[in-house]
Amino acid sequence: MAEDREKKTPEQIKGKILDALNAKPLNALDISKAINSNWSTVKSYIVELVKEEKVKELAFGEKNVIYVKVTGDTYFNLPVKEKDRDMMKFIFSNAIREYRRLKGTQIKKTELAKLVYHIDSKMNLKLPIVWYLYGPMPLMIIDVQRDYSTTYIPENGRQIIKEIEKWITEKSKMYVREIVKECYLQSNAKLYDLKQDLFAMLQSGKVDGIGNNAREFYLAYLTGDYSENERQMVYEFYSIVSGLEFLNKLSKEAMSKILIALDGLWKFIASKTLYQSMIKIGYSKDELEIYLGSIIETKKMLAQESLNELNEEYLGALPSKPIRLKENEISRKIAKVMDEWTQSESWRK
Amino acid sequence: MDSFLDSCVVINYLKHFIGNASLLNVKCFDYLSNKTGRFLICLYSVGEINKYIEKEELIHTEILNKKKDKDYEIGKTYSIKKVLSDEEILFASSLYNETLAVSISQLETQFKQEVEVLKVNFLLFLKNETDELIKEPIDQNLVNLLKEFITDYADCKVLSSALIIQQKRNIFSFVTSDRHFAPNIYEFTKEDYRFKNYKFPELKNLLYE
Repeated sequence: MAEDREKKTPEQIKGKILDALNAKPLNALDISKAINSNWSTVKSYIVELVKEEKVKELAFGEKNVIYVKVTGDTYFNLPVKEKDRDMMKFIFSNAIREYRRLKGTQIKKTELAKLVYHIDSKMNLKLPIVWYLYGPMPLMIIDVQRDYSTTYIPENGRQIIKEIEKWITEKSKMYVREIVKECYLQSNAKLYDLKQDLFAMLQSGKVDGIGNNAREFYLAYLTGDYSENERQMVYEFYSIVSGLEFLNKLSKEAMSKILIALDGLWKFIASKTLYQSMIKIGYSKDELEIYLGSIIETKKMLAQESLNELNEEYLGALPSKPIRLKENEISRKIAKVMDEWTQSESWRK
Repeated sequence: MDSFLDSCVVINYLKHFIGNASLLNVKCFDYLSNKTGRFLICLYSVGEINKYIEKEELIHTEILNKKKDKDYEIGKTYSIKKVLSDEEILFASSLYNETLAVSISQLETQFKQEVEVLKVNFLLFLKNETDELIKEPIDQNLVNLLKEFITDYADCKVLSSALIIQQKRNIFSFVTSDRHFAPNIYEFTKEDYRFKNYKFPELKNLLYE
């Protein structure tokens, strides 16, 4: 074992450190065990790798330091297996080439993401595909200007290329937004679909019935996994939008604040969705805490801030005196049951 | 004397604005409308009242779903079960039966108005009538101790908030309309040796007045 250690050159040791960090983040001691080198040697090479920006140091508390590999080609530096990286490069490069050949133009980022998702589902490739802001996407960053050419050809390469051609031909007459909507509907991703409608309404200024859309969005959110606090945030958003509509106070300024709040809220929801979809494809909670923990917290804080801004708008729109509704036959029927509910105190549990 | 308000008093007051005219609604409305001292409310109660409104909306949604589709089963979906308890789902079914003869559009309009008016009036109450929002964190040990006497957990949280700030101030009223705060139970709690160093607010339970 001692002889093995002596044989390693600095570049070999650095290579082994990077290999060890391929699978998951580690501290210096774990790295030294994984590559069978002593702790102080590992530590000194890690310092060099950090300077070379190949490794990132993350501190948790005063003493707990974890190292992650800078992948440079994945979202949030999340690690992906080399075989998956090769497969994604194969699909990316063929999709970019085939799109240009068949349509004479450059494929768009969103189209490529949806195409990779389609190929992955259709051929059961089990690639690291996650759900984020605009629905499903590969963990590897898409840059349509980049050269993804690879010498790697998978066994089912021909079939994959055929499927790519088929998809491009089928979608050739569709706008990107239609492709995205179709993807949401086929994946039963109602929340994503409703989010897209809400954004479209606010961006176009056509906000008739926006309270109903916001309610549908809130109800769709309830079908997923959430904490009490997160649910309250989504309810608050819906409640304010519906309140402003009821008071007939959907001014341009109010709509702009709703848009900002929706954007902040969606970024937070999507980051949680990303986390959940990564759990589904096998990443551990500990790992994700390192990569995404602080990102999610920041997005939550920003979402809450934009909701507070929107709430200020709602408070400013309130009438000066309480509103009184006249009693009627329907209200009496409702009150009969709802009074019992109130006095039962079951709502407090 | 200042009044520390329990969530249910505020809800009963707010319900009076949408036409609920039970004796308790009237008592709560009269008490809060004829303000004598300052009104205090804790952050936990604000959250609780917002949750009440949210639950009410979900009950309405269930009824409207059933009205639109006779095969729809109230309270059977996973998402609703996560928010509404079985007991509350029974109330939703009762309300559906009570409003069988009312058209969907009439009911939708009435529900919408009631919820929006509740929301508006609650915010106005906080803005115009509430003098102090108590933000002190809940003391879990105190809540657990109170739980030995008062069966409802949420009630214990609100009372614990009142108890914490009562220690630093002149005696105020703890105003409630909750059956869990029956005068005899409140007295019994006060007399326990573990509370001998605590200054208790004066109980004003409108349910028993």
